[in-house]
Amino acid sequence: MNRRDFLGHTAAFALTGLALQHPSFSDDPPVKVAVVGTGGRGTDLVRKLSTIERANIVAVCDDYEPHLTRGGEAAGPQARNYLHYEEMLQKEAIDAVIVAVPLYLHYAVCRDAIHAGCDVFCEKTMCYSVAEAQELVKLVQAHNTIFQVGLQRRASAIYRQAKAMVQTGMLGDVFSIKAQWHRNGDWRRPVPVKRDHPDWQRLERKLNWRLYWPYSQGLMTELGSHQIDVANWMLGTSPARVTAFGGTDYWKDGREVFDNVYCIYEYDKQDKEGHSYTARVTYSSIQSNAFEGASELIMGTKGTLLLTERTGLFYKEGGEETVDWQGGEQDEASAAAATITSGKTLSLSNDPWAHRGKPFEIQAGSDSTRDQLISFLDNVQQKDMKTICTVENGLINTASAIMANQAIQEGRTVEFEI
Amino acid sequence: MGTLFQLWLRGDNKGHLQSVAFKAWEEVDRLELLLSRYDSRAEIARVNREAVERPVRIEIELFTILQNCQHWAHRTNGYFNIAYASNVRPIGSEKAAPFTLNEEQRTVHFAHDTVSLDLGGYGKGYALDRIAELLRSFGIASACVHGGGSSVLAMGHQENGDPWTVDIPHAKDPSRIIHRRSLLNQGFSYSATMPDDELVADIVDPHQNQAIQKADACWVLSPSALDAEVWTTALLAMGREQAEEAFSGVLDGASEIGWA
Repeated sequence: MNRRDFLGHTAAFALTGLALQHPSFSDDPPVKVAVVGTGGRGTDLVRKLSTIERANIVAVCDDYEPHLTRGGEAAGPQARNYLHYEEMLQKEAIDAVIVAVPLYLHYAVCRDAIHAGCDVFCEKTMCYSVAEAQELVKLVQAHNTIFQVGLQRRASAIYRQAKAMVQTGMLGDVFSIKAQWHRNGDWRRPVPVKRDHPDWQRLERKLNWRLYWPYSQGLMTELGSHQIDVANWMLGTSPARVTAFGGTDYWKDGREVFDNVYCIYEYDKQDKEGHSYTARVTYSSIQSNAFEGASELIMGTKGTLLLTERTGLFYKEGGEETVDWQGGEQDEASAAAATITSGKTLSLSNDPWAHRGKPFEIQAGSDSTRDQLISFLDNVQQKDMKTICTVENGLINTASAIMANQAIQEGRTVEFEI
Repeated sequence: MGTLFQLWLRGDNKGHLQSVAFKAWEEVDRLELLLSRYDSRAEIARVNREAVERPVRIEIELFTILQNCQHWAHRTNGYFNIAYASNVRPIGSEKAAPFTLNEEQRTVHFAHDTVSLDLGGYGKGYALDRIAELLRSFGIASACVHGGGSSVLAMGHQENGDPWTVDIPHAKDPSRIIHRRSLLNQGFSYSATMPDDELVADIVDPHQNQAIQKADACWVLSPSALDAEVWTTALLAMGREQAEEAFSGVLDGASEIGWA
């Protein structure tokens, strides 16, 4: 077997059968679902659920009436609306609760839903604190709850294929991951009353909870947790430590959380021969420039994966061998290009575009937010606790995201602890 | 929708306007993931993949949109047809429709494996109307927003008190402005087919199932940006002579058409 054949085989292995399989349970009754929290994300989840035959949305709940009305309209006339989730849990016969409330309420709603005998899908980040996440793990285990965290990249065909490519060695050894979520905007929700209105302060805190520490952990839990989860998943372990810097430097508008964060995570790893090494992940999230948007770069000794929710691209690293790593026949020009872009000297090039020959492209194929819900409903119907993102994954993710805030606030390197 | 949207907002609180604008862009992104057939994650792309095999349950919003598209197809004698490339009889003809909607199940089902839905003549206008709703809900009375320069929606007035205006170019020479129209809380849409020696037009005559060959341009003013966009698409597909005979410059008492 030559190198080209090898690459071809591993690619074939990696690129087949990794999309989530959704078995049909036409004889099973639909899962009776309730959604708690119908803000922007919660209503998105309602809309996706409304397209899934095995979901019967029986109730939606939000304590802010405009959001409740919007969520109810998206759910359909069969769903009953509630302002208080406790009343909803008491009155409705619910199989599964979807939790999409602000972060500081995740634990309480999940806890009460579990006590009511429901299975739970909880939006990311799973909990506001590590202590809450640890309690939730115990609760889920004690009640045999089917529990899934809404880190939807785990349901994405792109990311699942990427994971397989890392596992089968197509990237070589991964020492580095670079990820970012860059935006240029104030991240605010408009408040529907003027500043001098007596309700402004209350509504500002309610609608812009992401901007205040009592309700949110800011960029790391609202955006970064997705990408730190990708790093943990690809590297197959949790981070050992993190150092980070950040601040509120651009948006001087009364917000409390950081508007920019820069982190370096270290992961203690061992190679196949048992030698220790450290893999490092750099992560930034800023709100003053949107260049590069949101993506993750998985950098191995043999290749690089550039991952977004819409497309995944695989670039082979330059090396001594000049192989047609994409497989298939190429015309003369493409073959020449392949020779150049995988040429040995380019391994030393400083040109940021030098290694970017024609990449292997992976398309999303479907919507990962919808796919993760289908996967969760499958688990509920099959009574299978092994969801694609378990409560234990959620605990690790919570701790991984929050430790960066701690590093910034305390000005020191923080060790991973759960 | 694969196009540039721009938004001008007027008000006395810049921070509030920024937040509303941010929310408007989020709404455009949301609609892109509902209506774009080019993004495999979008709801309409899922419909195009799956609805030939079985009835596909869809979001309430998309179901309402598809019902509205059927209504428009009948209203325009089949010249507005989101299934134009399907190589089957257009909606409104005596033959079977290319897709059927089941209201009870909220599903869409294609009649043939060549059916594919394209909301390209609908999405921008729909998005502009949704943005206008959103702006009003946050107390904004004066704004102008456009998608791709050809679909515009104006609310209120400019800062100097003048109405928002659009310049209408000539079909064959876009550098020549032939009309300037004021928009008084109205939507506006301009559609043009390209001359034969240029790019192929993206507007199709659904009855012939081929791109319009003749260079022409049509504009519509309407209280709704969606209505304006749908009308320009249908009228251009219909052709100037037939459209003028059928509608004589006034579509439904509230809309106005012109040719450039």
